[in-house]
Amino acid sequence: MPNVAAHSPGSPGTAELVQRAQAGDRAAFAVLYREFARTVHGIALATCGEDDADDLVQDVFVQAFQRLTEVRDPRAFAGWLCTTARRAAIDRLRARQQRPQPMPLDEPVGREHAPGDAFAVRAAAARALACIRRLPEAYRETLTLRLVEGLSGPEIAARTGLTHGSVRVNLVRGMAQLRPLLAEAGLP
Amino acid sequence: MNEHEDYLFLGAGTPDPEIVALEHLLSPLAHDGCELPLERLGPDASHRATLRPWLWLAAAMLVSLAMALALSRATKLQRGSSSRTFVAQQESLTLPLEPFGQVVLQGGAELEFVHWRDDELRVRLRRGTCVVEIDETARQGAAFVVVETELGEVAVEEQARRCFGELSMDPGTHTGELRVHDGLGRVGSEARTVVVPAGAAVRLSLAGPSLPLFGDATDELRKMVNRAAAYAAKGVDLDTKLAVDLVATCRMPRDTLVLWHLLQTDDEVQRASAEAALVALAGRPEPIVKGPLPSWSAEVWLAFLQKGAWRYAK
Repeated sequence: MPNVAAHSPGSPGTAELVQRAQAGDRAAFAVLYREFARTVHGIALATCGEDDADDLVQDVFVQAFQRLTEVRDPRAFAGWLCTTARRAAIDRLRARQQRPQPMPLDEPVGREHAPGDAFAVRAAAARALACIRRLPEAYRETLTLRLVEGLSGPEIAARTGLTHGSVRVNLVRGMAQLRPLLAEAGLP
Repeated sequence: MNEHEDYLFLGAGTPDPEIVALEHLLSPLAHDGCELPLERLGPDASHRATLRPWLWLAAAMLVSLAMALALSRATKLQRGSSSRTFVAQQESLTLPLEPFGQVVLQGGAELEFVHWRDDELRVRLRRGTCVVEIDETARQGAAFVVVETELGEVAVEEQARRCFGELSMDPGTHTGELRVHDGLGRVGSEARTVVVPAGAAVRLSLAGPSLPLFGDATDELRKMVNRAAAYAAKGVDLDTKLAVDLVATCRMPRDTLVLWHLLQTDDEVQRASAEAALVALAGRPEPIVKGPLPSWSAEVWLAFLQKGAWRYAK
């Protein structure tokens, strides 16, 4: 099985994996999944929030596997996958908005948890994500990939098709807009 | 560019404390690294492409489709359909509820379609197991879908994803079980009503539904719930000692599912004990400035627990 760390998205290694997966090689597709799962998860988080993100990642990859022959140039796989993920996330968001709203994740005022309490930790993370999701799309997606999924700027550029310069600008401007939102929410 | 911007972009070099704190804060939401279940992938596009030239296969599929269509006319249910009974023999039988969703009867199950009105879709499970699935786009209000059994009836209160859950009935032993996969079910009988959120299950008997438990409940708590069920089977209310023991066994946030049901009692001591434990394990539903611990209604607690303690596995 190819070493995931040995190649980066858009590289010949990825293209080769895409070609093998197009020929029905599931092991190759599993490697692509490992390489891109965080990217798709970040896009899902930025668009739909945390409730649907895990499900959406699996749905997007199942859909991608079944439609993989649509990718004529294997080097375009990363961009195609991101577009697929964005569309699926928007569809999921619309479907959710058409049904009764699920309960918000925000921690109710007055609820008391020890600082290390798993609920308190996760609720604080959800509040921070909610702040990011208030940003313009380009900023929220790039910041989510960087701050939540832990991808570096160059990795984000390779996976989304953005230039390094665009990623850097999105991160810096996004952070500038995020700071007051975090302060308003009482977060660091 | 300063070095803080470099850290933001590169994720390496001299750490920016602000970014490091944010990374730490947001890390619980990152992808968990779980593998893609390959069995979910189904046939790949290349496989389909290989089959495309085989027109005879398409013809065979058309014949199968026609047969399936003929069969579906017998099983398809819609608003206003007349009452009828379905029995799944060896294999499962899918009953489409168009355009609402479907009920899947597992082999050996028998289900009566009672009615589908503007205000309610009702079926009666006589034996076996049925799985209720409701499409996202066709949701109705709370308790629109009701599945009756001889041991009580299950109302689908809330649902977010397609598969609500599965219900089993054994008329031989007069026992059953409801497992909820998504949303919230309410199980009512003459004896009592319980709520069953996603990830939890409840046993049904002639004495009514047991206290529901999440799948990750401890063996100790299960034993205590079984003891409570034995009391219920005799038609006896929980005595205070057993109730207090039961409360003491609840130690994790999701154990509050049991505690919530103890709020239904008329016994003030039991209720107060359960509510104090709820506060200890899940926090307070509403802010308190000072003064003695107030009491909240079961409905307030339900909404609070659903969005907090019951959401996450231990």
